[in-house]
Order: sequence, then structure tokens, then C-alpha cells
Amino acid sequence: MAEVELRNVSKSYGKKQVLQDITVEVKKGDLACLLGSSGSGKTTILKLLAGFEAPDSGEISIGGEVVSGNGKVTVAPHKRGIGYIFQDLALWPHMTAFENIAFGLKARKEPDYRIKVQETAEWLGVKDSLDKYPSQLSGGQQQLVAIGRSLVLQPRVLLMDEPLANLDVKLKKVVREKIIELKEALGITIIYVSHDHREAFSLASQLIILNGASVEAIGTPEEIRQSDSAFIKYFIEL
Amino acid sequence: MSRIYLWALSFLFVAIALLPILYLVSHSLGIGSEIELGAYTALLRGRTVRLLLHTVGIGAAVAISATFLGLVLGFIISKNNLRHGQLLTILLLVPLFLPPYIFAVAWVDFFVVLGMSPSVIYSPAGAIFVLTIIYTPIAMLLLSNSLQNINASLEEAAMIMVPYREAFFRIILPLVKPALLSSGLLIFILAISEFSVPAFLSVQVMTTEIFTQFSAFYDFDSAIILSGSLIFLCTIGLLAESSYLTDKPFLTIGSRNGRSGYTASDKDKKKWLAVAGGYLFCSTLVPIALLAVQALSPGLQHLAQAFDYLKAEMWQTFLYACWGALLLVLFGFGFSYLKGRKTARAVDFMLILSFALPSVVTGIALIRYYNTPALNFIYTSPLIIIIAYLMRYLFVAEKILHNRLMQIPASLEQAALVSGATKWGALWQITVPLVADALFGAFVISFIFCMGELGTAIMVYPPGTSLLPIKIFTIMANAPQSLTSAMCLVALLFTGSVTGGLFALWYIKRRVTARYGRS
Amino acid sequence: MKEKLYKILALLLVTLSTGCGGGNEGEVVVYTSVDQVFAEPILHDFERETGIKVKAVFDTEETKSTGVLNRLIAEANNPQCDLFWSGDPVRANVLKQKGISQPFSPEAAQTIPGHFIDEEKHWTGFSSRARVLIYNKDLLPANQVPTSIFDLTKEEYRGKVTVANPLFGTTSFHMAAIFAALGDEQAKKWLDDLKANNVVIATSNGDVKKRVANGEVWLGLTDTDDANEAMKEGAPIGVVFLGQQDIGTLIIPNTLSLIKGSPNPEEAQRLANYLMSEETQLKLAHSSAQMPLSKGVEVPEGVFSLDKVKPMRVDYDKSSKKLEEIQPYLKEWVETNM
Repeated sequence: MAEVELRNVSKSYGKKQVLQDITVEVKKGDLACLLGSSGSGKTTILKLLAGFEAPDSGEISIGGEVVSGNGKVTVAPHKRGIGYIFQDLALWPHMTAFENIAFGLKARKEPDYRIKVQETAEWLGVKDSLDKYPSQLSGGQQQLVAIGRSLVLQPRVLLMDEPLANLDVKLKKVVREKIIELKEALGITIIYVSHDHREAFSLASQLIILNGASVEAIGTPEEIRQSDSAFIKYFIEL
Repeated sequence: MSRIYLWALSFLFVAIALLPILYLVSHSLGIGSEIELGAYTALLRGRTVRLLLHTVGIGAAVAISATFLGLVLGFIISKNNLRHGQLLTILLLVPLFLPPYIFAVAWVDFFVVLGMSPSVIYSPAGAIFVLTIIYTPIAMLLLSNSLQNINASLEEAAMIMVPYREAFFRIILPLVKPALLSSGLLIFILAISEFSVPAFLSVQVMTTEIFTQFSAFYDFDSAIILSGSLIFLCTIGLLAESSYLTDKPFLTIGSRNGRSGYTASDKDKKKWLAVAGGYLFCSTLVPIALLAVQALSPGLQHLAQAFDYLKAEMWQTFLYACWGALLLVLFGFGFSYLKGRKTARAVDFMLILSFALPSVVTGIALIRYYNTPALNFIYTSPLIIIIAYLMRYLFVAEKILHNRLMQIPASLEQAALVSGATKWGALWQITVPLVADALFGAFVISFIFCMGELGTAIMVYPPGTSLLPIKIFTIMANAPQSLTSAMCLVALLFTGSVTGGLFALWYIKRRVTARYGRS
Repeated sequence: MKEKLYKILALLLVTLSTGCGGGNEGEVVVYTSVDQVFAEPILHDFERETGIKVKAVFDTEETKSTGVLNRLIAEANNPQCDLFWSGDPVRANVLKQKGISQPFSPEAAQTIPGHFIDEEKHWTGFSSRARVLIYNKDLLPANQVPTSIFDLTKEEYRGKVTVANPLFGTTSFHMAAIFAALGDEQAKKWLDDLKANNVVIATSNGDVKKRVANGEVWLGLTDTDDANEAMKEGAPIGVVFLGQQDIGTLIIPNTLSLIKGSPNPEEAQRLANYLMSEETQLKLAHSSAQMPLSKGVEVPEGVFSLDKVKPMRVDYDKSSKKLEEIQPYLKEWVETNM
């Protein structure tokens, strides 16, 4: 059964149609990569999945439960069991790294939140930076803290918006390994937005290629490579 | 390089606005003549201390309640994507368009109309109530601006984990803390410097005491020394604010993000709309409806008469207010753009000195300084009114612009510089367009303030000129209630429609240029 | 965009410069604390009839901005004003004491009784108001209305009497006159009794009028012009000239002072003569029920007349000095209900 499902979803901002009749399924434990040129509605799909916005039409379900439909958000973002790594990381500037990671746990009133934060930080290798403010961290550390903040809550679905975009080559490798480790160790379903096809092909178990407001193709990296679509050929060769 | 400009600008401001004050103060402190010790002891009397505490109490209560209401309203207009949000915003600004005094009068009348004893409102609580309504729009503007400029993903990152209510209190609120603080401080200063409302409601505060010293005893020295205590209070507030802000390095970051993260559900929207509507009704519609009823009860003749009385003043006041607002924006932008971290306090102090001075004292200072044969050309021309505006409101204009400028990363201008732009080019082509909304906002607020300025202008307006608020003020003394109300209504409509017109122009222009705004 | 900006700036500059008039040929500058509605038409008439341009600064005692007087004091070193037209002699006396006015004797002053002219000619009185008690006819039958200021301290009027803040305007002058007439001890006792009787302190005479008219209180001390205005508005208000059996009613003349160093003294004289003329006094009688002081001016119907009123014996100069003396007491009196 699909863990994440979008059925005939459309979305527009004013007159601009961003998504047109999209249908996508992602299986549990998969790492699905949304690939497409900029402005093709990749981030919009994440926002819809997170429940920040409602689709104009169509239905979205997570874990078999309909979370958005009839133009409305029916399950609030914080009840969807998702994590979200933002493109700009969105670390809260007025909280230390520790407080950032602990925020969700504290909200759930978990008694042993300190231990969990420590464990997560250790796994990510940012244990020494926990009492620093985001502005005092390096780019890579910020990235890892942002990942930690989502992971510590053990979401069933993790949404990542170009998490490697602003990193140097070395850090990219570190973070990519963490993502793979994460997927394999925890079995989390990951939906990953990228505009870099190499990154996508190396990570993903499923690729969703967007062209304009609609889906051009869905399949494993292998299947996509063999596609005849002119768009995909052009896109991959780029 | 920019230091030279800062010096030049400061020099100009000192020469036209601060020297009058320093000149006055040095005289009252007896420099060059024998020192009046008696005047100083006025400060130490038990009564003065009590008054000071009373003033601080009222100012703090107004600051807190207006900032709270401003936060709620700012949240409603900036976070709910309401269909007629612009209209609602303008309506909520209406209390700014009326002289504070009128609001006090209208509320007293309201109680009388209801057959209730107005003694409830002739009290410190009444003064707090009226002043809160008057200053809430300022808090609303500052806070809605700040709320809109919070990066949406910071908000969304919290919404993933907790209900929006909790995200608001744990994330959003701490992030707008600087704006809350600025708003509270600004309103505190405005409230403790306001004279007409406490005077009308027979509430004794520092300004009424200063006024009594001036106008019953003609004791300028005591009045000026007492004014010093107000300036002292304002300065303390300002120092507290700036030291708080400099301790928090994170507050200057944050890039603007066009959309807001949270959008309310339709049900919530209705709820919030009801809250805003309820507030609008109680705070603004009730007194204005009362004015309208009073103005129209004898038929249209008083409205026509009011218009007739005021038509000559409208154009003149409009022009002076435009000039005032233009200079306020220019100076305000200059100071906020040029002041660095180190010089910020000195600049702030300079501006607050002229801002916190009671309007009568400002008037006296201007007369003493400018009324000399050499400077007669300024004193006897409307320039003196413009200078008065500059002294009274530069602090406000600068603050609005500074809050906005802090949100523009320096890298944007630096990028232009390395691309070969000159310093002026980068300023004009990069920074100015980016803060255009704040420039516009500062202009509108300054314009509204200038349109209504009474306390200083009445001391210095050149014989033969006439200004809208002064004319209303001098006519209302003995005019029938309905005529007074009609005049207020005419002034309100005039200021309101000019402001509305400005907003409409701005809105149209922005729609034309908005294409690059959204990604 | 830039061009448009410059055009707007140029336009604004032009508008700003039109206000600057350097020369003062054939003009006179008058500062007045008389209500603008009444003063302005008369000044316009003067302009029309003489061709002399009048530049006026208006102010009002009512709403307690004593801008004009403070302004005159501050401008003393470089006077801008020629003539000060005050609604009461108190201010004129302040100017005199501060050395800001100079003696002058306009011809028209000859028709004014000497009692209303300053001994040293620093000011001359003309049209006058009187201090009266107004009462709300709906709330108080005419036969229960007090006839003397001493009635106001009676138990039956507890909390039902209002006076304006006695530190300001004509009320302050009234208090000084009462102190002069009764002696300090008795006057203070009267004021303290008034306070003990929960007197309501209003912001101004206009505020007194309003509070009586809308029934907030029954009785209030105010001036004839306010009483007249209330009646014109159709308020249920009756007027009583107090003290006809004892100390009499206070008469408050308008006054004119010539400013020392006046830039246009000749024009000021002409304006002074014009203002004191019977014609002007008649106009003021019509517009604001001011009682003409010149003998023989026909009083229009409905306007109070000095002939039928027993005036309080007042030395205006001494009363002004008295006021200065009792001010600290009055301030304390006002503030004790803080």
C-alpha cells in the first residue's frame, strides 16, 4: 500500500497553475525524488504534503488516511507524522541548536527528551555545537541540526527540500551518507526535492519527473533512463 | 565615507532643530545668568515624584495594552489573507486621523448619550482607555509589518511539530519581540507626552503639570525643568531598548519572504474577522458615529458651514503636511541608513530629545531661537511650521525606516557595488526600491501626524496663515457641539480620503511592478 | 520618474514661498484670545473698510491653550505682534507686568467708562461679558436656583455644581475678584466648603456649559457668552446673575494692549479704534451677546445689559496681582482630589 498518495491534485496561485491533475504514489520506505526544472511545482508538492496549503482539487493521503481533500486541509500539519527539512533550513534563530532539536519533543512532553537530543546529535556529529545559536554554526552543522530536529521526532515521512543545495562537495557527501543511512536504518519514507539529476539518480529508489505543472514520468532510475521522452532526455543530459 | 554624510546630516538637524532646544535649556538653567535654584527644587518635591510615577503608570499601561491590541490586529491583517485586508487596515487606522482630544470628547459624550455617568471616564482608567485606542494603530502597523517579514519557513518548521497556537507563542512571538519592544516604547513615549487627553479628562500627569506651570504661573524655568524629567524617562526607555537589541545578535537577520507561512482556515478567518470588526466597532465606529449624529442632527447646514470654514485651510495644511512628510522621510531615511551600530545611540538620543519635549516647550524653543532679525525670514514664513513638524516626528519616521532597513541584508548592496555601481547608485537602485513600502508607510504616518499637529504649530504659525487643526481648535471653543463635530468630520474625511488616495495609488503602482515580487 | 519627482518638488517649493511676506506696508498683526468665530468676521470687516491687511493669530482660552500669551512673552525681544486683543483683563495685566505692552490711548477709548481702562493706559476695555450661574431647567425648578455664590456650598447641591479649573481663564479672574471682595480667609473657607460639597472641576467654561446642558450636573459657573451659546443651541439652560443681593456680578471686559516695539503702531491704533467703536461693540453684542461698555450703545433684544446688573466692585489691576498671590493656593485646591 502506498504510504503517500496524491490523487488528481491541482493547485494554482492566482492565475498561475502550478500543479495540474497530479497523481503520485510513494511506497513505504522508499526514497522518492521529485525532479524538475525550477518553478515546476516541486516545493508546492511538499507544502501540500505538509498541510501548509490545501490543494484546489484532488486528495492527499498519508499512511492510508486522507489528510487533505475537497480544497481543505483535514489533518493539521503537526498531526501528520512528517518531518520537513527546508531549503533555507529554517532553524529558529532565537534558540540554540539544542533547543531547536528539543522543541518538538518538549511539545510532546517527552520526559527523556535530553537523552534523545544527545543521541541524535551524536549520530549526526554535532554534539559539540548544541549550545550554539544557529548564526554561530557552519553551513554543514546547520544542515545537520536541521535534519536532527526532524529526525528526533521519528516521522514516518520525511520531506526534504534540496537539502544539499548549499553545501560544499565534502559536506554533500557526509549529508548524503546520513540520508541513506537514515533510510535504511529507520525505514522512513523520504520525499526529496532536487533539481540536480545526478544527485537524484544516485539516491532515489523512485523518481518523479515534473515538467511544467504536470508529471512527465514516474519510475525507478533505471526505468527513467530508458524513457523515450524528449524532455527527460534533454533534462538528464543537461 | 558614509560617516561624512552622517556628520553633515546631523549637523543640519542640530542646527535647525536641536540648537533651539539647547539654547532654551541653557537659558533656563541659568547659564549666563544667575542660577535659579528654586526651580530645581520643583523636581524634588514629593508631588513631582508622585506625578512622575502616575505618568509612568499611565504610559506603561497604555503601551502594554495598545501593543497587545496592535499585536492581535496586526496578526489578523497580516496572517489571514483577508479578502478586503487593505480596507480593514485603513479603517483600523482611522483613530490616527483624528486629534486625540476629539476622541476623549466623543467618549465622554457617548457615556452621556447612554445615560451613564461619565465619571468612569474622567479617571486614569479613562485616560488609559482613550489613549490606548488612539495609539493601537501605530502598534498594529509596526507589528503587522514585522509579522509579515518573518520568514515563512521558520513558522512552518514549527507547524510541523505543534499546533499553530503553540508555534505562534514559542516561535513567532519571540521573533517579533524587537517590534513589540519598539512599539511599546514608542507608544509609551507618545502617551507620556500627550497633553490634551489627560487635560480634558482631568487626569493629572506630567504634561498637565508642565502646562500649568506655563500657562497659569508663566514659570518657564520650572516648566522646562519638569520637561527634562519627561526626556529623562524617554531616554531611559530608549537605552533599555537599544541595549536589549544589541545583546541579541540574531535579531538583525531574516530575509523577507513574500508569502506568510500560516493561512487561517475559513472558520478561523471568520472568527478573526469578527474580532477585528468588533474592535473596529467599539474603538472607532462608536465615536465617529456619535460625531456624525451630532454633526447631522440639525440637518446638513453645519456640515456645509464646517466645510466653508475649513476649505481654505485644507489645501494649505495639505501642502505643509506634504512638505513635512517629505522632509521627515528624507531625514529619517538618511539617519536610519547612515547610523552605524556605534553611532546609533547618539542619533537616537538626538531624535528623542526633540520628540519627547512637550509641544509647548518645543514651540517656545523655536520662538526663542528663530525670532531674531537674522532668522526672521524663517520665523515669519511657513518654514517654521515645517521645522516644527521635523522636530516633533522625526523620531517616528526614523524608527519605521530603521526597523525596515535592518531587514535588508548588507550583501544586496555589496553585490551592486562589486557589479560596478556607485555608492549612490547602489542606494538608489537596490536599497530604496527594497524599502519602498516602508518609505511609503513612513510618509503616510508622517503626513497624518503633520496634518494633525497642534501643540507646537499653534505657538509658531505665522500670523495670517491658518492650519486645519488650529482652526478647528480655535473655533470649537464656543461653537455649538454639532458644528464642532461637523468640523471634525470634515477633517477626518479630508485626511482619510487623502490617505486612502495615497494607498490606492500605491496599490495600483505596486500591482504594476509586483510581477517580480513573487516566485 | 525622477523628472516627475522634481516637478512635484518645484511645485511644492512655490507653494511654500507664497506664505513668506517680508514687507509690512499697510498691514497689522493682531494676536487674539477671543474666539475665532467672533473675532475673524470683525477683522475681515476692518480689512475691507480700510484696505489694511490684518494678519491674525487666533487662540482660545477655552481649551486651555494659552499659546498666544506664552508666545507674546517668548517673542518679547523681537516683537512680531502689534495689538493684543484679549477676552479678559487678566492677560493684559500679565503683559503689563512683564513689560511687554506699552501705554496707548486710542481716541475711541473716550467713550469707555474710566473704570475699564488701566490706570497707566496699558490696556483699554470694551465689550464685556459677565460671570453667571447657569442651571439645567429640566432638572432644577427656577425657584430652587441659587442666587448667591454662597448657596453653592449648600447640602442640597452636593455634587451638582461645576466650575472650570480656577487656575485658568476667566474662572481664575473670578476667584481673584472673590478673594478681593471677601478677604482671603472667607474666600478660602468658601472654596473649601465648595470642595467639601463635591464640586465638579471642569476643564473649561465651555465644558461647564456642556455638562450642565447634558444634565451631568445641575449648576455651573460660566460666562455670558457660553450661556448665550447654550441657549442658541436650544439647551434647557437658565441664567442667573449671582450676588445681586450681596457682592454683585463680575464684569469681564475685552481688552486691547499695544505691544512694546510694535512693528506697525499706526495701523495698530487704527485697528484699536475700530475695535472699540460702537459699531464693533454692537456687532459683538449680536454675535456673542457681549455687553457694550460704551454708553449709549443700543443693546439688541435678548442680550444681557449692564444697566440691569449690579456689578462687582473690582479693581482690575489689584485683582490681577491678587491672582498671582492666590495661585499656589488654587493649584493645591484643584489637586487635592487627585
